[in-house]
Amino acid sequence: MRMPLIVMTSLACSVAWAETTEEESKSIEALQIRLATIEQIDVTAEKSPAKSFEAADAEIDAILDEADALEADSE
Amino acid sequence: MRKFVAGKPSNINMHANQKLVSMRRRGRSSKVSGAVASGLLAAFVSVSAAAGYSFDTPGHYLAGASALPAWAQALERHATERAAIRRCLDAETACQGKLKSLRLVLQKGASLEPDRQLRLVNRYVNKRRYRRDRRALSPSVVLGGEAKLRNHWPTLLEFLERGGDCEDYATAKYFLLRELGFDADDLRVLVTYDRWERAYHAVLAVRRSDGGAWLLESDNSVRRANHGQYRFIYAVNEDGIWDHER
Repeated sequence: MRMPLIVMTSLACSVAWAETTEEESKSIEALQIRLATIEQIDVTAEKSPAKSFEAADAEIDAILDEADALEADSE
Repeated sequence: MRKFVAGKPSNINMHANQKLVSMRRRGRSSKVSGAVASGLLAAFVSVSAAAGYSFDTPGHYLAGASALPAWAQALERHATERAAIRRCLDAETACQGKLKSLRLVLQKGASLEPDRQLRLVNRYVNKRRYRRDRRALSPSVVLGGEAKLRNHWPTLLEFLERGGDCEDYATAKYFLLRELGFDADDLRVLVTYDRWERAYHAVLAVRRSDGGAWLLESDNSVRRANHGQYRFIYAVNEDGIWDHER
């Protein structure tokens, strides 16, 4: 009586395991396809800095002017 | 998480609110048409709200950062580069080239409030030369090898020396804000499709303390990420990749 029960349980387990493995491999494949698509996106839009978007801030202006002067010296 | 000063409400939502007010003033003509208009307006407002970027949308996490090899390699190169940045911060004599101005920005920027740090970093990075990436062999997802990719993810110093295109600007802002103490959790390089420019565009998204996202743009604006100009595609930081088209 026990033997058929064990066989049935083992069969059920192996079917469930096989389905899980198949699902996992499908999701890994889908992930790889999506990542490959993402890395091919050519990100190119060019937007020039505009004075009109800068909030007036004398301290930031002073830091940036000093940074510019340092870069000009080292060139 | 850092605290930022709240910005103005978006133009879209303001416009919707004005519409609602004027409809209320005029809305005596017919109950039926009023109900239809209110329904349409509610739908419009909800679409506007849905267009906003969120760091917390469930189900968008795709994989760890290492799943995009070119990005992971840039993070590794930057980790190596940080030793030079640290040496420069410790002693001015160790600073060469663009490191000198970087030192100044990091030291003086450290005493600013977070929202002004964003503006400083944005403007400092946006001064760099725009240069389109050339298609080049890069580490790729494809077969775990190399592929010819257009996007090259630079490190901070590579970008400051050579310039780059929009994802390079966003990446440099990411690394700079990390140096200024922002949490990686609150920063993402966000790749979008710009409906107005009809081109893919990258910006740095920063999460505020109230959970709202701001975008650091290459045009020097720092604004809330709730306008309809962008369709969000994906985002990366040192911890992961988020797919916003899921």
